[in-house]
Amino acid sequence: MPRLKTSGICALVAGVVFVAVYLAASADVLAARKKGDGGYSRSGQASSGSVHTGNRGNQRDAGRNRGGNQRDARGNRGGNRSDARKADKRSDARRADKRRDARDDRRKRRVVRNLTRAAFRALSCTPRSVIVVTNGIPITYYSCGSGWYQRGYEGTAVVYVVVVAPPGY
Amino acid sequence: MNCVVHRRMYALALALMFVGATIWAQESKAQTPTLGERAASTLEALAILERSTEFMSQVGAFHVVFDIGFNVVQRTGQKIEFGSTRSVTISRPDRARIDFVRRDGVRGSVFYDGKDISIYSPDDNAYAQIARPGGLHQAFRFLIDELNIPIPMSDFFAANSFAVLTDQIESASYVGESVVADVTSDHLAFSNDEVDFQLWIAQGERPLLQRVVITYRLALGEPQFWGQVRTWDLAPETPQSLFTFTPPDGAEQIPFASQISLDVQEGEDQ
Repeated sequence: MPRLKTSGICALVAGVVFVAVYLAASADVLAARKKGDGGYSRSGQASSGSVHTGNRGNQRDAGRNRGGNQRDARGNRGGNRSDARKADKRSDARRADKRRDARDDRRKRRVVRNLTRAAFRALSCTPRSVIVVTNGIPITYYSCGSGWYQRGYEGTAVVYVVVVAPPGY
Repeated sequence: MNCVVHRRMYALALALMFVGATIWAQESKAQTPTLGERAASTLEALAILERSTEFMSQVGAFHVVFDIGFNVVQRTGQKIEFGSTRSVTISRPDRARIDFVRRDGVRGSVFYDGKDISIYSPDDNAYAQIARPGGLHQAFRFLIDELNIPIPMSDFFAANSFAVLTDQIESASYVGESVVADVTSDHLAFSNDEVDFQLWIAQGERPLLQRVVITYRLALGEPQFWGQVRTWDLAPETPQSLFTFTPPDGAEQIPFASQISLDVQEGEDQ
């Protein structure tokens, strides 16, 4: 009977601890969410505010599949442009595609690693910073636990990029 | 007798059918513009756009304040709108200053003095700088294509904006007169091979852009961008100090994330 009572108390304590941890985690998430970091993606094609997306090479094919009939019916797209200009444009588009692919590769590598300022502050440690001079340039590194970060601009926002530990650390 | 009544009823029914068919044909005609009407609408839209862009190309410097909003389609398919207020000063051919305040409170400034592009975040007291001599067009392309920094509505501020806006154009039409934020404007609609876009251009002596809506019809969920002009100033003060970034005390220079050595990141993968 006392053993049963002890087990009950243990279960109760475990439950209270679980609820406390859950609420604390939720508070962190809510705090981050208030700062606009609620896991929502905030950049997409429409954020460019441009009438040209830079994805013309890829999207043209999609457009053909989707609205090909309309385009054929309109039939006025670039009909009087010179072949040379078209070739230049194709060449430009190919170069732009290559640049974009390289950039996308870089982004894919970083997308899971870069932390926004709010997310970085929500880390469960007090980050410390060290300045390391590399090739005469002072670089500030931030460490939190075993992770090392460097600040950099992603778009117009400052983010914390995960990097390897600086030399000597 | 009955026969006469029936004949009259048939005649009445036939007359009603004829009248109905005539009205239907008239309405159909009214709803579907003729080829001539469509051509006139296209020419009118292009003429208004050309007049506006020509007017803007003659302006040496301007300052415009506008609000923007855009949808981002999330993984769930839900569209979430974000936005900011932007203050843009352009001094042609090679000076620009953009100050922005995002709705989540993030502030920043982008400077271009003809030689260097600088971006500054007062909340982080950090800045990045990169040399890019040339002109506004090259600087904006570099920001957008290489640094992934969007410059919303930059198509409309380009010196050759008519060529930019009509590149790959597939349709243009005049929608009608429309009052936007108390400014009587011409409402125009265009489509190119990627997007549909609508412009509202003020009528009168100063044919300035008042509003833009862009629909990215090839993107998943067809997200939209909108920009609403608050004020135009065509004779702003443009001292060099407005375009040249001077780091405040204690500001730290940081790289663009894309400049942080890939070797370092790749080393981490191993």
